[in-house]
Amino acid sequence: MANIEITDLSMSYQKDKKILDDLSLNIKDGELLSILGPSGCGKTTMLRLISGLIPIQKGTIRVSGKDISKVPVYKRNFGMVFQSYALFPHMTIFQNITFGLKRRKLDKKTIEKKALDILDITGLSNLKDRMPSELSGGQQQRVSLARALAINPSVLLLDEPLSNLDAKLRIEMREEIHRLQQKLKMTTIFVTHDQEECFAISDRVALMNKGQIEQLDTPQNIYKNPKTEFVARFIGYDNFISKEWAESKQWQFHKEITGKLLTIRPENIEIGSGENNLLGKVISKNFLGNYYQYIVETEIGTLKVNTTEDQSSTNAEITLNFPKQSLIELEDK
Amino acid sequence: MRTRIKFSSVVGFLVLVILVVPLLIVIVTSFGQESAISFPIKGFTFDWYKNVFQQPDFVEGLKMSSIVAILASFLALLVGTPIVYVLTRFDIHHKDWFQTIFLSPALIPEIVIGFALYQALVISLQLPLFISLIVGHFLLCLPYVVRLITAGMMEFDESIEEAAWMVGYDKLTAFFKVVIPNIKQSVVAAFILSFITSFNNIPISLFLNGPDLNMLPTSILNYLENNYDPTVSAVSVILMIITALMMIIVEKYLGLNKLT
Repeated sequence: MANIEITDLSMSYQKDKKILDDLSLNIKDGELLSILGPSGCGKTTMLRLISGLIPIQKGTIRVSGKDISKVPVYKRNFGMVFQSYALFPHMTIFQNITFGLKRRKLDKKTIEKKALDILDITGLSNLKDRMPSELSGGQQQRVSLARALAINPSVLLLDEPLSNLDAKLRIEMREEIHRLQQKLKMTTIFVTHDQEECFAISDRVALMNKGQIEQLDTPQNIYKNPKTEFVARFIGYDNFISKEWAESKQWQFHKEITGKLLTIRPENIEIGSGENNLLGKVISKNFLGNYYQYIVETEIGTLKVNTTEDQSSTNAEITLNFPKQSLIELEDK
Repeated sequence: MRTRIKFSSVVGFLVLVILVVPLLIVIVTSFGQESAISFPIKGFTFDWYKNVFQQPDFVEGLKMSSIVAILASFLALLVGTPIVYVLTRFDIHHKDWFQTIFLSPALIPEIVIGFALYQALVISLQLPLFISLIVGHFLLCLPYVVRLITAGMMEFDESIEEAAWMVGYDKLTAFFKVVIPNIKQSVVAAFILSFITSFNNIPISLFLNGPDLNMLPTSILNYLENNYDPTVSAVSVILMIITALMMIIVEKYLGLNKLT
């Protein structure tokens, strides 16, 4: 249906303060791409630029080869789901869904059939005569999705659609979005700050920081091979070790990238001796449900170590092992 | 806590008494048979109400006041709503200055506005009195419109409007199909409050009236200069009823508490 090419997109609200900084990104036809990042990284601005809700200052956006930078928002034919659902409060669910269709020159029967189809695949048929205020949050977000899909958009844009829902509904809704996206093979951009929901459904993830993409990769690769310190920290690599120091201790690790830092996830550090050892003292121990977390003071700083079994206690002197295959090299940025 | 509740209920009661008792007396005196206003009344009659409608000044005044109030309120809505939309939706420089400018008529003494408009529009520009009167009442109404519509727009989620653009509506059509229906309450309230304000105004009308331009409140003042009979009480009651009816409509649409 549509691929998107974003080239050198820049945006600033004030001089010298760039929200987006020469950002380029290609989204494949039918792909679900997530834009992940902390608040203020520019992800929402990027989505709003693509949607046309804010005008482009610099750079181009092409959809299926056609430059849409100058096309006004109401002619872009993109579907959008808002964080606040944004249903039309004065219309029934059915009217909410047909509102966009009525703008297109279709006869009444076609509109009704299209609306009933979309109500059917989103499981909303029995709610069609209700008002938005009579629906729960989850139902409202479902209507919002149905409304976006009803106009048969070339691109679907999702702006943190799950963040107002409770934990259980969030998972349900995210599966629903994934199912519909797969079924309709719709090019989708999903903006979120939650790595779990983004990893679960995305084909690729663009991790953003300060208006630029830090890493663009599959969820697995981002999780297993973070490229920069920012990415590593964002996805839960809590321990950072100077490469220079590691080399001085003759530690074993892959030496493939030039950079100053190594990183390791708390659950990959082992208690006991092995190939790369370090002495430390447990300064606190916390039971966190499915694992124990030890805060260990060492000569290179305080480290976090997670184990599934209870292996030590506070104030104990322990040896830590850093397995070679779990030590990730990071690029300098 | 106890004493505070007691204190506020005493004050509330006193305010009510000071406000309501004179009104009740006016209502009662409008039914008295004696030709001078007196309280308590002797006898009971509806004659003074009949007399109201036999005074050409009052009938004309009622008509003119209604026409002016409706026109001025419409005009204030027509001008005020787009202004508020721009002020709440766009990031413009010196936003608060503009806000203050549009609210300023409420800060300037009405008698000053009346005098200034008389000087500028009637004397200098030689504009017809009726046009000047409408301009004066429009200025009187504008702050109410700006304040109430602003409140309505603030409560309205911007994303809802954006959602209409996303499904294919240009900004103007979206404004009428999505924004207006959702701030309808504020629009109705603004209209009615404007109407009441204009309908009851004296200071501005005093400067901008003329031989064929009698407003009801100024007619009452004029009548009082020469007569002190219960007709004035009767016309006051009629004015009160009209205002009260309007307030009831606002209350139904919006709730009075939202106006303050």
